[in-house]
Formats: sequence, structure tokens, C-alpha cells
Amino acid sequence: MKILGIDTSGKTASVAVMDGDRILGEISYVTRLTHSQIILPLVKNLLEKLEIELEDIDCFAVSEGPGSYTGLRIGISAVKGMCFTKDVKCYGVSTLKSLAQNVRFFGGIVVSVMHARLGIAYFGAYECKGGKLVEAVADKVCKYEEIEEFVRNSDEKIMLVGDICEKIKGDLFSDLERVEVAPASLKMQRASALCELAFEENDSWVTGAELEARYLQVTKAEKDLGK
Amino acid sequence: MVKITNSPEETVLFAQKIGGLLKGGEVIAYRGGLGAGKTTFTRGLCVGFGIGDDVTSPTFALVNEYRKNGKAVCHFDMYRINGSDDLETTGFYDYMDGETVLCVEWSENIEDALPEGTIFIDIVRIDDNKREIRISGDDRFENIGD
Repeated sequence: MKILGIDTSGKTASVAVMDGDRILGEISYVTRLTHSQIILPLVKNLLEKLEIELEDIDCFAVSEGPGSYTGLRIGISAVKGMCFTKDVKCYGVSTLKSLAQNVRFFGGIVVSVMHARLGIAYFGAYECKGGKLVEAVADKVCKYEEIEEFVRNSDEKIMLVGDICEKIKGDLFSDLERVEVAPASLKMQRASALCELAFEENDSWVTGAELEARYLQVTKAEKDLGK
Repeated sequence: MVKITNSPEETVLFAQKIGGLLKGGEVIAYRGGLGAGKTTFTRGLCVGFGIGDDVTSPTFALVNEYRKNGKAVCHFDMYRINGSDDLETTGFYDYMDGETVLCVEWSENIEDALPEGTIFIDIVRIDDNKREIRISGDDRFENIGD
């Protein structure tokens, strides 16, 4: 079973191919160009290197959000397009969950944090049980204070991942040794994590038409929070 | 500060001066009616900033991106944007990365969403050739009219 993963949720453009339970290849890099310019050539490039045809792919795994609106739409549209032409299934993965997947063997709670607005973050938390993630806090958009409250109310060791993990550690938890930041190679989005999660949840794959973005709209949330 | 320009060429040269002082990451909010010259001004600004003059009206696309020499300008037209929900779905907030200069036409429509430190450029048409240009929100440009 071959799974192609695409992540365009942030500044990193990432594609990966998984065959069975092994990652055959992955290309990831931070780019200032728009994902619409590079993501499909990147997919083509990787498939060529692996000598795999697009027709051989059984599932497309993609980041469904939260993250950059334009980035997410580019990845999701590309996947929908590929699914429609090949009548193949796909799987949308929470960006926050895919970040946590990078460090799922951590002996504690993984806290995924991504920049949304000034002082506002996308936030999710997962307990690690034998290498599987169990949701502790459902994906949400919130002020930094809520992240602080969650962490300080917990006794567990905490690992922060995501594009603002260093900032959150520095601003909120410089006094707390039990709060760590993920290492450089694991703190940002990777398409291979999307592939792993699609592989694990292979009975939840959907059609291209069913795939949806989950933006966690900040503006709506701000209104609900009475900001 | 206030500057009167007497020809389109003068307006563009003035915009170039402004562009030359930009560092990247600034949000520039234009206020001015139809035909005031916001897109022309943006063209001058881009030349001064170092990314050339290939600037066109973003009215249909909502946003045009111009990139050169590692610098970037995103040129928005908020004429058809109604409210902050609308704005969010354009991906406006994705562009505030501290390096890209944002030029926003019809910024009046998204007043509440403009960040602190926004540079306001009001362009008023006096006649076919003359413009009154008022810049506020950043000390850098205080003496630029002299």
C-alpha cells in the first residue's frame, strides 16, 4: 500500500511517500515562494526519484489545518484534484496532530502550538501511550494564557512542537524545567507524519469530495471569546 | 507629513523615495477614492524598494504578489471585502511575516484589522495632475517632503 503525503500548512513545503510501513522518500524545505508554485513539481520530483508512478498511489494524505489559509487550500485542492482523476481515496490530518506525531514516543504530554495571530495560537495536546497519540486537548484557537493554564495544571513532562514552540517556552515557561522544546529535526511539519497517520487510520480514508479544510477560524473564535 | 505633487511623474518619484526607506514587514494602508493613484503610487514604491515596476491593479485578484531579489510586496485591494471574516479567508494574515511589505488599497474597509505601526498614506486628487499626499503612522517619513 503506497501513501503520498503533502504538507503545505506552513512555511515548510513537504512531500513524502510511504510503502507499507516504511518511508521511501521525503523532501521538506522552508520556502518563501508560494506553495502553488512548488508543491506539484515537488511531488513529481519525488515520484521520479523513487521510480513510482502517480497511478501506484493508494491514498493521498494531506494536512487539513489549522495553518496558513492559502497554504492549506493549495495542498487540499491538489489532493482533491488527484483523487478525482484517479478515483482514489485521501485522508485529512490535523496539522497539530501531525506535529505531535513527530515526538509520539515522548514520555509525557505533547503540546502542539502554531502561530495564529499576535498573542493567539492554534493549540492541541496529546498523551503518548506506547507510541500512539491520545487526544488530551482537542484542536482549538486560543490566547497564550490558556496554554499556560493547561501546562501549569498538569504534573506531566511536556514537549512543545510547532512553529512557536521556542517562543511559548521562552515567554511562558522559562521557569519550568519539565517543559521541553522538540529538537530541530522534529519541531516542524513533515509529510512523513501525515503518511504514518493515514496508515494507522486506513479505515477512515475519504473521497476527494469529502475532504474538507479545518481552519479553526480565528476571527470567529475571537468573537466567541468576546475579544 | 503632507506633500503636494504636481504631476504623475512627481508622484511616482515621491513614492520611490518612500519605497527606498522601507525595510520589509511594513503595512501600508492607502486611503483615497477611485482614480487617486494608489496603484501608480505602489508602482513607484516597488521601484524604490527594489523589486521593479511590474505592478498592476489587484482589483480582480484581491492580491498581487511581487517578488525580486529576496524582497516581496503583497498588493491588496479590499474594495470587495466586507468585514473581518471575509478578510480572514483571503489569507491576509498569512502574509504578515515581518519581511513582506503589504500595500493595501481601500484599507478603509478593513480598518479594524490593520496592525499597530501601520503606515497610512492618504492620497487626495486636487486636479488631473496634482495630488495631496499625507503620510502618518511612522516617523521615518516626517521630513521626506523637504
